[in-house]
Amino acid sequence: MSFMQEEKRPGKKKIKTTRVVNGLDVEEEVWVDDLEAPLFKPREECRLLGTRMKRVDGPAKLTGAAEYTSDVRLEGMLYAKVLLCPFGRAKVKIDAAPALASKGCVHARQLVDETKYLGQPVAVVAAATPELAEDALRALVVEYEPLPWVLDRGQALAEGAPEVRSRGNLGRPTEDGDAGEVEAAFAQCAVVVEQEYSVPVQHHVCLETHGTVVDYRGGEDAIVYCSTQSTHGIVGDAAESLGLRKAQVRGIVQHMGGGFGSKFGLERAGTLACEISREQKRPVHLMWNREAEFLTSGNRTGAWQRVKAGANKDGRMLAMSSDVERYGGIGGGSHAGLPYLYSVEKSLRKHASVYMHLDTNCAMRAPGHPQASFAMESVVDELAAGLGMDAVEFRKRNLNSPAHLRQLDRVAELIGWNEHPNRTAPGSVDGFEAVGIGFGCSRWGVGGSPVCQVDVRVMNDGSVTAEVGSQDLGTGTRTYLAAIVAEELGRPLDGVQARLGDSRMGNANGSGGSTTTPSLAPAVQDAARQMRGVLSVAAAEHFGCAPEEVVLDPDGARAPGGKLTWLELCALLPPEGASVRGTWQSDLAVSGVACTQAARVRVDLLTGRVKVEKMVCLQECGRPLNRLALESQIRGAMTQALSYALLEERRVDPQLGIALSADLETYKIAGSLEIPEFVALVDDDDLREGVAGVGEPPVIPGAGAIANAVFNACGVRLRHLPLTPDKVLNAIEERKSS
Amino acid sequence: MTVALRPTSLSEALDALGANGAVAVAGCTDLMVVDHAPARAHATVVDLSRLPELRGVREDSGGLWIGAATTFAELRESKLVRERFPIVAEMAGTIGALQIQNRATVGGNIANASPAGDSLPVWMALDAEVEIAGRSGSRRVPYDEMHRAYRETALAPGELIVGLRLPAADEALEQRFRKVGTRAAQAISKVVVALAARVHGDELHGLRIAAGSVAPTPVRLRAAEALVEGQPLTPDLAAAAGLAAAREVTPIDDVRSTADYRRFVLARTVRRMLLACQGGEA
Repeated sequence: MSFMQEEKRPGKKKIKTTRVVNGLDVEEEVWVDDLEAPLFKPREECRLLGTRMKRVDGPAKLTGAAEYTSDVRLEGMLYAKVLLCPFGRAKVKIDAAPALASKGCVHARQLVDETKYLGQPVAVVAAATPELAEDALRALVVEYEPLPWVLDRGQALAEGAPEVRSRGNLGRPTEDGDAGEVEAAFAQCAVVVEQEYSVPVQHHVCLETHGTVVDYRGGEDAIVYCSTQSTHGIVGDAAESLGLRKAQVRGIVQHMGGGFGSKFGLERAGTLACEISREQKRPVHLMWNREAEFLTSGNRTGAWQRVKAGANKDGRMLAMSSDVERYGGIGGGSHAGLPYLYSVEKSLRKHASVYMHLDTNCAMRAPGHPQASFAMESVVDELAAGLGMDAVEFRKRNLNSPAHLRQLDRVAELIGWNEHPNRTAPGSVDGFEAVGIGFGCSRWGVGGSPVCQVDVRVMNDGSVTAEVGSQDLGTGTRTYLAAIVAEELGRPLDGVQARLGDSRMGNANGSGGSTTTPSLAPAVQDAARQMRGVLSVAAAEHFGCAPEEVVLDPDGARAPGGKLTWLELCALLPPEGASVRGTWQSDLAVSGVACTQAARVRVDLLTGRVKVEKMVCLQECGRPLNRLALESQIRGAMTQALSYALLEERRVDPQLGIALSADLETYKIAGSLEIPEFVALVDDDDLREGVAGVGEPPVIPGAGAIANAVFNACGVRLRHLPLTPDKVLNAIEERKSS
Repeated sequence: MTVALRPTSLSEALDALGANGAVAVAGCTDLMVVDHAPARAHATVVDLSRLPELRGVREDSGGLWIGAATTFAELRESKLVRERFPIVAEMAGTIGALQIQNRATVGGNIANASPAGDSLPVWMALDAEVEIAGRSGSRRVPYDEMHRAYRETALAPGELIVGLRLPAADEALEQRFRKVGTRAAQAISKVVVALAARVHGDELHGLRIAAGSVAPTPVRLRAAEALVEGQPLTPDLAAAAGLAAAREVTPIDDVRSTADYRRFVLARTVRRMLLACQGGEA
């Protein structure tokens, strides 16, 4: 080998070592892991990473042993509850004295004089039991003076409408693009589609509602148990509400029943609990009920999207203009913008918020993206149909990333597109039922954040812990925290105890934007590799060899000089054991993951019911850490997208000013019988060494794919989610009569 | 403050129900929902779940007697019910989820009298009779006369449903049940239809079709029945009966569906169910 062409292997280095050959010492060069370079082991060498690992907290969750915030019970704890305003908007006058006089009630007060949105909390009570707190709520004497409200677009934009905010109910539009250029591009198009697409407000529907339990009894320290996506993020707000310093407050998030973007802070339930606890010097438990969850905890922005798009006869999209209204209640709403994902040569867009007396939107699993994707995937499909072009082929002509091109081919194959009769023209509305296939694509930025600090400790009795103040939202963070360390140290998965969800542990970012894994896993690997270095040095001293020559495997440590069991190896450590702290490594996190989905539906042409029979998803994720968790994330996202497509919609009565869907009876989400055959695949053609989170990308394209599949089945285009049977049936009847 | 009473005999229960504002409960699956709202608590609840007089399923002169406190889970599991009235077992399996079926009772579903109550059209189609007890004695009411207006039944204040009598069913009795909800399970009906008839060749005799969620009360679809009764059943006739059904109901728009959709789907459901009686399109 010429030294001019020095070979390089990622994560490896060459060292000189001495070997005895035929009684002679021979010096030779060998490749060993570079203990200074915290890369993951090569995929083919891994025992744990990249396999399907059951979550380490599965048994605790299955048996009910896992303690969620709502489960926390403390001696002397008070239960707090809130009263919600039943009107779109009202002045409020409350006599709290009868509540305070009711049995067990120690705290009752009015929260606002005038509400800003439907369902706003107007009073809070705290009592010795949940039932006594309910009684105290009933005992409040409340006078409402309803004020004019605006709960839909028509009311908000009507002449003389009551103002949600001082600058009017229509926000100032943002516009970009050159109208002249776009007009000229439309003139070159062989097909032009101009349509309106709408999506309703969707709820997060976390299984665990928002809530906090505060353990404060006066004095200098408080523990705040919170259902949150950010263990470290709640400490400041809690300290302020408790009148303490940040260093006096400890946040605990052991198990989380989902957040989906709605739980980044302490939230209203948490500040109220802290305020009551501060006053009473007693622990306080305050969990939202489902009604409060649906009316006051944020949601996915609704949107109305007027889109005009055109393509030339070769299927290239040349022009698009879009006019989008965002419905984010008292908030501005969120929308990812059009064109979305696909490249269009010239585009013009206009966005504006319409404000209403409903709670503000907030982040929700790919905020703003599913809305834009639904309109974009629909219009893409309409253009393909207008040209009589295969929907997969049309997409490939308008997507730039090689990942999407190969994913489309694979997904098309897995869903049965190549044998499907309706590839260039949809089926008919005759007969009893029709089967169709639709597609959708997405991309997500991901990227990691450099804040995580992971502590790995090995005791001289062989016990191992990995800890960081991050949180596991139910996604499997705890499992890879243990697995990465176990992989590097040659331990079994249950040989490492993962600890998280405590703000006294090392720093971690909030779980949003699918960034938990690319922020945390590199720091875990860094710590794991450092610990391997520490153990290798200890073993090397024992064997009299170089640290790099030590191999850690399930049997313990081995080197040219001999073997040690794991316990023997750890016994070499000092009595206090060894500890290291890992930090973020940028080359272990990837940015940008592509996702492609397909759905096959069966449309009942007599009742309009759409049954999704199969969904396929191929998702890039860089290097997969735990396939089971990844597949579970992808299935969950597809379930949520299916539910968005077919069932979910916040409903209010704008005339009466009341909520119509503030419970799970009237706001239906997909149940087990709606779940199709899922094919959830990690894209193994993504060979990047870094890791990515995939909570968000697979939730984006599903609704568009399902609507496209309905069109493909029977030629009816549904442009307004959810695709309820009445809309489907109306469209079928329209097509029959045209 | 709500007082809960747990009588151990029918006469004790009737005495307890004589009190002002007293309400009878068994599974509490409706009452717990209603009483969750502030200021909606009942003064006295009378728990009927321990009354031996209200429990069980047994033979009754060729037909069946079903106690009012029988749960839907018990209906589902009862061999007698499954053999003789398969649509009763089928219907019981569509009420809520298993937890609800374990608690909710036949009598509760009738007394709650929701127009969307899934059991009600079944009792109507099967020509059931309701056994009612009061302090002044007991009486029987044909199911057709049980529901008088929106959430209003033939029960007088202080009266209790003791049980239901289903007339004898032979093997020629064709029974059909179909529920259309927002999703496949755990959904309140948009349209629910039950049908019973005796098949003679290509004709249906003694046809009874009843529907829920399409009017303020569960209703018999008499116009549809009259078209089909004793006539050779053809696809055209079945379709005409479906349309007749759609014309004779008065559904509303609500959070679950629209009046138009309910009419439309009722027509198609009735048509399908009729043709299914002859082994046709299901």
